[in-house]
Formats: sequence, C-alpha cells, structure tokens
Amino acid sequence: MPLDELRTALQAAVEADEPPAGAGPAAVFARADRARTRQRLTMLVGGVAVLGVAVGTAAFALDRSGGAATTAQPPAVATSAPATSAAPPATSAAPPAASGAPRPEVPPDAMLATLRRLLPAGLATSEPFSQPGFAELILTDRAGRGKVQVNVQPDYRRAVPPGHVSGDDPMDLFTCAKRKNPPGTHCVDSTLPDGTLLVLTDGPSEDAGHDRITLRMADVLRPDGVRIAVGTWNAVREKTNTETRPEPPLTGQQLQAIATDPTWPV
Amino acid sequence: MTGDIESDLHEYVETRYVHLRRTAFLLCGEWHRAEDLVQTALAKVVTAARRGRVEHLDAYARQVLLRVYLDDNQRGSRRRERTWADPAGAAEPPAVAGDRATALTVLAALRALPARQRATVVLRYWEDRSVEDTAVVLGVSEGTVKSQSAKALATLRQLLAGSVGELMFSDGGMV
Repeated sequence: MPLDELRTALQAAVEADEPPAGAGPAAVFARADRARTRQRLTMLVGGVAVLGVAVGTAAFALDRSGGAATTAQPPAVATSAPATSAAPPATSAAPPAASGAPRPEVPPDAMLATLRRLLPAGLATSEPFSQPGFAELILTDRAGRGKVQVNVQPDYRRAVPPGHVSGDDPMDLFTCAKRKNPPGTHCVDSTLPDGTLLVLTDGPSEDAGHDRITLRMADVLRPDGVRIAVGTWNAVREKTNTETRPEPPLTGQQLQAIATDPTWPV
Repeated sequence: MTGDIESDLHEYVETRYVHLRRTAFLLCGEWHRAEDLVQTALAKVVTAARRGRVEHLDAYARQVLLRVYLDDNQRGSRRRERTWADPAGAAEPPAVAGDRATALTVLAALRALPARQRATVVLRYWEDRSVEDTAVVLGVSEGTVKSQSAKALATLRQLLAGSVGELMFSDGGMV
C-alpha cells in the first residue's frame, strides 16, 4: 500500500544516521528556564506615576557578604529632583525620546564576548548561552557554581513605551520606591555623574517560594537610552529552588562595573 | 498525566523528544537544526504549560514545532532553501547502497519540496494526521492541504522514479 511504503521510507530516512538524544530533553527545560529568567530580568517593572530619582547615597550596601548595609564608595551623584509622584523626571538622567531608526540588538557572539571580558578574574565560565541582546554564563569559583545573565536593550524607551507594561511608566523601574521588587529585596537607586540611572537590588528571586535563591542585580539606563541589566544568582537553575552556593558569584560593585562599562557594543 | 504539571512535562518531553526530533529532521533535513528546532519548540510548550495555557500537550507541541520550523525557514534560511530547491541535485542517487541509499534519496526528495509542501507531507504521512488536523496545524484550508499534498506527491513521484520501488507510483489513497 503506497501510504505504508511512504511511511516506511520516511522511517528509514530518519533512522539512517540518527544521533542519540543525549541531553536533549534536559536542554529543553534549561531553555525554558532561561527564557523565563530573561523575561523577568527584562520586565522587572514596578510602580506607577513619574520618576522621582531618589538620592543615591548607599549604592553598594547590597553586598550581603559584607554584612551590614553600610555605605562604601559609589560614584553616585544625587539629583535634585524630589521623590514625589508629581515631580518631573530628572532631566539629566532621562534618556532621549526615541527617534530615528531603532538601533540593532547586540549580536549573540558580541554579547557573550563582552560579558566574558568584563567578568572579574578568578571565575571559571561554562555553559554559554546567548541570543541577540542577551547572554548567560555559569560561573564557578571556590564557593561553587552560580549564574550571571545580562540583557542589553539598545532603545529602552522605544522597546517599552510609557504605559505599555501593565500601564506602568517604564521609568519607574529606575527608582526603588516604584519598582516592583519581591518582598525582602534591598534596593538602592542613584544617578551617576554622566546622568546614568542606576538601580542595585539584592533579594529573593522572583519565583514565589524560591526562598533560598538570591538574585543580585545592577540595572542601568544610560543617557543615550541604552538599558543594561546584569543579574547574578546563587543557583544554576532557579526552578529547583536549590542554591549551589551561599551567595551569588558577583558583588553589587562588580555588577555595576559590568553594567556601566562603556565598551558594550551598542 | 499525573496532575503535577512539572512531572507531566518531564514525562512528556522524555517520551516524545525523539519522535518530535525525527519530525523536525524530516522537515529541515539536518540533525543539528532539528535538535535546535525541537528544543526551541518544546521550551515554548513548557513555558506555556507552566502558565496553564495548554490543554493538549502533544497537539500543542506539534503545532508549535511546525510554527517554529516555518518561522525559522522564513527568517534566516533563504540560502538554505536555495540549496535545497535544486531538484536535479536532490534527485541524484547517493553514492551508497541499500537502505541507506534509499533513505538519502527520500530525504533529498523531501528537501526539494517548498517548506509548506514538505510540512504537509510530514504531517500527513509521517505524523499520520488527517487533512482536517493538518489544515488546523498549518493554519490553512482543507482544500489547500489537499492541493499542497497533490503537488508534493507529484514532485516526489518525479524525483523518486526508479529509486524507491513502487512508492509513489500508485495513485491510490495518497492524498
């Protein structure tokens, strides 16, 4: 019967050189988890109303390994904008309105190469994964394995226009009072001398019930409208709620250095 | 299905991965690309299922796989498609013998088909789906499925003449 013969021929075709499935099924879940964490890294948007940039006086109180939330060093410059919902955005920090042709996303290879180059010495990297504008690496040092992800959005205002995300102003992401962080998150916002908005967070990962996983993050919005968010976890896969080390492998200071580095090819 | 979505998803992916990868292979003709397609598709399925948006895992997975394949084809593979759309080259007998030669000939003939015709053949004769189901998965009318099948089989008959026995030469029941 012709139909059976065609099926037999197709069966023979797939069996001729079929490689073993190997780790394929596990890779499916790794991809699903990456997609979820990438989405959350991108869309950590909170609050309502207009940005009032808070004074950044304790930018690096976020390194839990350092114990108490004491001020350290940051080159943060306070803006004079009052932190009220009626206040206009801090003009020095606000990115330009989107105009002209959109900038292209950073290619996957460039994302990975830049992330690797900007990591501090002493960390072994493995399991690279990248997409346009996104890169992930597993980091290993004496304390164990952890994860770092970076997301570069070339035109943040264009990508997330005001009112598009749950009715929120995308600029709310850059003030702790309006950003929707999970309960228990330590958040510090500041404005750097060049007008870059910086938010540093340190707290439980977003997944409800994932109490053992810590997400530490530096999220910056440059005056040219480029947003760079770098996050690090004390886990390799959040879904399991299994920490692989006591603290994420990168400190807040190290995350800030990566996020504010001027050599991101965007 | 156990009711525990994570267990169900792991069981589903473990048991269906190989078959779906074979489907992807017949669609795209390259194992490494098939691996990428099926992982991309199943990751989307897992994400959607965790959000409670999937009623029938297998039907949804096949639909997503087809969509991922067609999107991928449309986006970045004009060069690949040009290479495949070379019936003369595709129909050339491979320099190997026996079943393997037959397999390679069938694959080459499949590659000679345009992407949607290839998808139609794979759904109808590999996945054994009805005309109605195939139309739903591809998002086209049943008439389009029938005409795509007829065109595809005509091309396959031409390319496989003398290579695969009587395959394709009977008009009975193929469409």
